[in-house]
Amino acid sequence: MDHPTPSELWRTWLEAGARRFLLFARDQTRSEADACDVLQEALAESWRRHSHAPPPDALIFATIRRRAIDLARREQRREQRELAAPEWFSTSPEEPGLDAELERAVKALPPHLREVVVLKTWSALTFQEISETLGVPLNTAASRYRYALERLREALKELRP
Amino acid sequence: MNDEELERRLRALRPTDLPEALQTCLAAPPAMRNKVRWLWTVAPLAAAAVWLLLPLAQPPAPAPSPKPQAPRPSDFRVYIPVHRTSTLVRVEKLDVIETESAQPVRLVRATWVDEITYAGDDGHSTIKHRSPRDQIIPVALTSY
Repeated sequence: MDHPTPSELWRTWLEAGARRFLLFARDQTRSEADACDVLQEALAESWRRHSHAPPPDALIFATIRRRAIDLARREQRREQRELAAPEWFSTSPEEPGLDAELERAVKALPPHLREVVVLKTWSALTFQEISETLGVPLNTAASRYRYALERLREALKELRP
Repeated sequence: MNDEELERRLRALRPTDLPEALQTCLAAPPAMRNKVRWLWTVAPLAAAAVWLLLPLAQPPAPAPSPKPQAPRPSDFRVYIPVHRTSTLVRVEKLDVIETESAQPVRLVRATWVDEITYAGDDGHSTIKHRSPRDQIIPVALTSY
């Protein structure tokens, strides 16, 4: 059986996870352009650090987060760039019709709650992995997730009492 | 709405695909850095440069000085003075002074060259040593 080439490995790995990585990059940055920049840097850096092989998800998310923090620090010295964010989600084949209300509610979450929801829901990270990625205690990660769900429920109630 | 239903709704949201521009940027894996190849090219050049420049950076080596040799027993001689001469080479009148006896005295500076001859204990080697010497000499003046 032939071994896949580095390009094939890269493409396969990217197709499997790129959307999740981009979602987290969007969550961590202030604009679409920043999200793309951060994601590109983080993917390349993680790939290199993992000896040009598919790195574990936790490494990718941690790198995205670190790069986003670096960018945010640089951004403070620059003029504000585009703020209009594109849609983060598309229609699920199983459930047609974009859940625009829920997406708005997710986007409106405070960043420290939203990042936990993003990692838990769309990247299926465990609370242990989330705590390592975000540098917070495991219990904090779990309680933030529960608190985020509560916030989302309240937000949806307000929209549809 | 309970947690399970809310989580199901959340999971139903599907993250969007990457923008085309980003997909283009990420079409190929990052290139491997040719650290080793770069090192093999530069290392010999750096070594050659160091080898060439090293003599310039070092201070010049001091000229070899003759090593002091310990005198051999046969080099030792005992010299004793055997002859001495004193040659007056200059006389200079300095001044005339009055003494308590009312006898005037002229002071004269006489310059001598003393020459001493030393003979070695081997019976034939000699050393001559010359040295100048000044001497103030009072000379009594006769007064009438």
